[in-house]
Amino acid sequence: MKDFILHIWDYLREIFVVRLPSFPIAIRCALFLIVFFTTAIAELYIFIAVQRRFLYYRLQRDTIWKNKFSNILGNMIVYGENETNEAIVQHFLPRFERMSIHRSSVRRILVQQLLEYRESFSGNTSQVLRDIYLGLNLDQYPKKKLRSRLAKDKAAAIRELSLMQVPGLVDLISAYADKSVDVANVDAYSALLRLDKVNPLGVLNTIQQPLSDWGQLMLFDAIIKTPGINIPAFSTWLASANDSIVLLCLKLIAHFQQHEAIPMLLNLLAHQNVEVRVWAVRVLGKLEDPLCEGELVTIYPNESLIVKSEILGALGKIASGEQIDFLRSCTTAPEFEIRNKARELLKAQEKSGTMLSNNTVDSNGVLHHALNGF
Amino acid sequence: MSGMFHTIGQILSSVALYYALCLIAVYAVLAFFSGLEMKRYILRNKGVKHRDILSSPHAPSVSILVPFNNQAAIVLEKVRLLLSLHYNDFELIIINDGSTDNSLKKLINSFNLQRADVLLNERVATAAVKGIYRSSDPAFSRLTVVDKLNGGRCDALNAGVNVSGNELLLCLNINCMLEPDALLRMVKPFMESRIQVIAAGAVVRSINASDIVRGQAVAFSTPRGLQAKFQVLRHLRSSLLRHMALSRFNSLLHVSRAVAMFHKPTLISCGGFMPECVENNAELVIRMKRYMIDNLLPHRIILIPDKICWLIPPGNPAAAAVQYQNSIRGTADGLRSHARALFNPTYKWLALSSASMFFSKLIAPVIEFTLCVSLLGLAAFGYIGWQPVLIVASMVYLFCVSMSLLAIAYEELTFRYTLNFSLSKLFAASILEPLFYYPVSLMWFFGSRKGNVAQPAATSLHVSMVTAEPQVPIAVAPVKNLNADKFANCEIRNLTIRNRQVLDE
Repeated sequence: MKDFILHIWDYLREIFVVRLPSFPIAIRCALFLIVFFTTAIAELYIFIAVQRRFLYYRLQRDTIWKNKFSNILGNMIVYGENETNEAIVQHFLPRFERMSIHRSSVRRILVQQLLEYRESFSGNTSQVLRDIYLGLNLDQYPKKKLRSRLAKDKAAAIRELSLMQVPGLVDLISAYADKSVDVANVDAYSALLRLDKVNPLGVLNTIQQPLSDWGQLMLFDAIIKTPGINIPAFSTWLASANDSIVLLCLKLIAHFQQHEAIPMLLNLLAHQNVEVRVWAVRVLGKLEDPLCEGELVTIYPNESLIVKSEILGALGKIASGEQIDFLRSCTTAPEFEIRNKARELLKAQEKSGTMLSNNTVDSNGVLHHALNGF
Repeated sequence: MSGMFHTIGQILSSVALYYALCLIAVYAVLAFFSGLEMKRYILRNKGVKHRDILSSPHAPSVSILVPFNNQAAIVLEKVRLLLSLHYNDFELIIINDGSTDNSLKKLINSFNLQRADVLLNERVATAAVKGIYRSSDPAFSRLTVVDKLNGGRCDALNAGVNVSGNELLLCLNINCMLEPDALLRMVKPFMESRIQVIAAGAVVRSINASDIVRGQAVAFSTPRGLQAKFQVLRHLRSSLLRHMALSRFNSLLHVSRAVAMFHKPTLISCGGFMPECVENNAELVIRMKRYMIDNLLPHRIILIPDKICWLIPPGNPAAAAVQYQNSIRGTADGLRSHARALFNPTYKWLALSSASMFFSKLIAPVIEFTLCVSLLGLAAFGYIGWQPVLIVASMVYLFCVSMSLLAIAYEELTFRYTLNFSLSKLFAASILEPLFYYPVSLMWFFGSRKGNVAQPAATSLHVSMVTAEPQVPIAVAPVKNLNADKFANCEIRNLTIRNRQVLDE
């Protein structure tokens, strides 16, 4: 066996050392790659094994610290009902200070726990958690991260600071907002909404970049869920040059049922962006104002299929009963969606289906479909 | 004569060496960009609360299409699991593709299904639909069951497309297991991108030795059997080291058959799934891309590397062979249908990626087989030395092993699915895989050329691609209608849409 290994060793030595200069360049490349891949395999194996060990150790350590912090936070939540917030903070702050929060790994777990609890609780408990966070000066670390070049660090810092409602950061965060299209962008907008006590919705004036559907959803969520925001008339932004802001405001108008926006909404029916027109019609339907019906019927003939379908949907929601003849005329429209929707609307207005049977119904099948119980 | 063989041997060994070096360079570049793309995905989604989509009224509606054929043993459990997915607004459409067992009866009894009179807007042609069932129980209001004549998986999916009422379609294999928040993760790229995302695939991971509790994989352990381990390595390598890079450059043509989300208007404009294709998605994705390029519409096709979908890999070589051959056949069908796009500079990245797919899936095995056999033969007869052959073979072998380990390292750094797998067993599998799996897969490759692939039942339908507006007729092929005369007046001529009443038999 020893001889065999020595033989192999000699053979490899001959190829990789002695005869190497005499090989053509391609073979030398191949020999170099063989050495490279062999090393890579060994390194990858060791890397995976060490990484697993490290992860296992880190998980164990995190679990221990997590349990410690959970215990203290649990005690804090049930501590003296009649105590003031200051007293609770004074009582528990030294306990946290005694932990090794100067170590980044421990601090990370504490911050994670504080954020989780802050999201889960409201009222005094939430306030106490914020005071503990500020009392331990934990805000200094995300503030440093705000200057990071990495967007993900910035986004995480912005999220943390906005959730803890750290004061005096509006100018700092607004500097990042709208600078570039990155992950920190929408987070910065949402943070401004939460932190700016004077003009939280002023951020809608500053957004220049078009917001994606995801960005709109996040901002919508932040606006409707942040307590203490004085809800303005969102029709103010319906004239914005940024169509994504217009779309966001249309969704907000529908959510807050702002009927005073109807004249502006009617103006939007002539908007060049079909998505804006669709949403304007949809919001008009959700506001259920019978006075809009005439305008919707007027624009109907010149609209695209998607807007036509939306107009029928809006008429169905308003359901004043004034547009029965129009709906009947739609039951003979060439487009399947329109015919189908018109029949469903007529059926919704009268369960027996008399309105349908009086009409020029193409077949019994259509009638059955419209009167379907599902 | 001897001199000629000697010269041929010299030439072939040089060709093999340069060929291997080129492939190594290409795969190394792809692996590098895949790493970057995965990092980008993780950074974009770090700290994102996917549940925000769940509670939002503005999240897009999704239709889940699940075709099945004779799956009475699992269909009830799968429907229950899918109905419990975490998402606000989705409908579940189960398509019975002409099952001859009692699966439909089971569904009807378990979910209180009743036949519904539904006028189908048949935007893509399918085999005749026998009935549509919906539940009278409000708890199952999201469930629709379509009963149709057998026409194959693609035909069943087309029937689901006609029934669905939402803009996003999630096409799912009934054997797949989805994570509870899979829909949230799959929908996000569609909302996030300012360019229209027309299709999204996901990395499918295997669970053949994992603990499954209430339809969820809770503890992963090393797959049992060498075949299953090889499959895991193969999937990880192709998804994490190759497809992610293609996704970065918007050149992805491989969207998994197991789970894929499509933008319905684009899908319908392209004519839906093509029933003739076994492995439909490669052909469909090329068709969708061609449609978008022809109409100058910006688009994206993406791959989601997250933990979304689980599948039990084929445990025996016969099943693995069928799967492999289906994949080869699907690629061949797709590329044959779109041969014009293959080297057409008009299509730029599509031309390049389809040409590279053509080469890697259909040409490379032939070249590699030829080179291996010729070099081994020439070396055996002494026309060339063993040394250059061994050097090239060692280089390629070590490269394959290192790629497998790199894929495992990527996975462990990101989604950690292989974390509880035995490293030594995975390492052993990655050492053995190039020696055993690769020669066997070459055999399967040549088997697939003989046409012994399991084909779905053929249909007489043909769906043509439409590059103009959707108002142009797209489904004009005659569909066998059970009672067509009675409802002839449903047909409105010269229009895009043919309406067909779903009837009692």
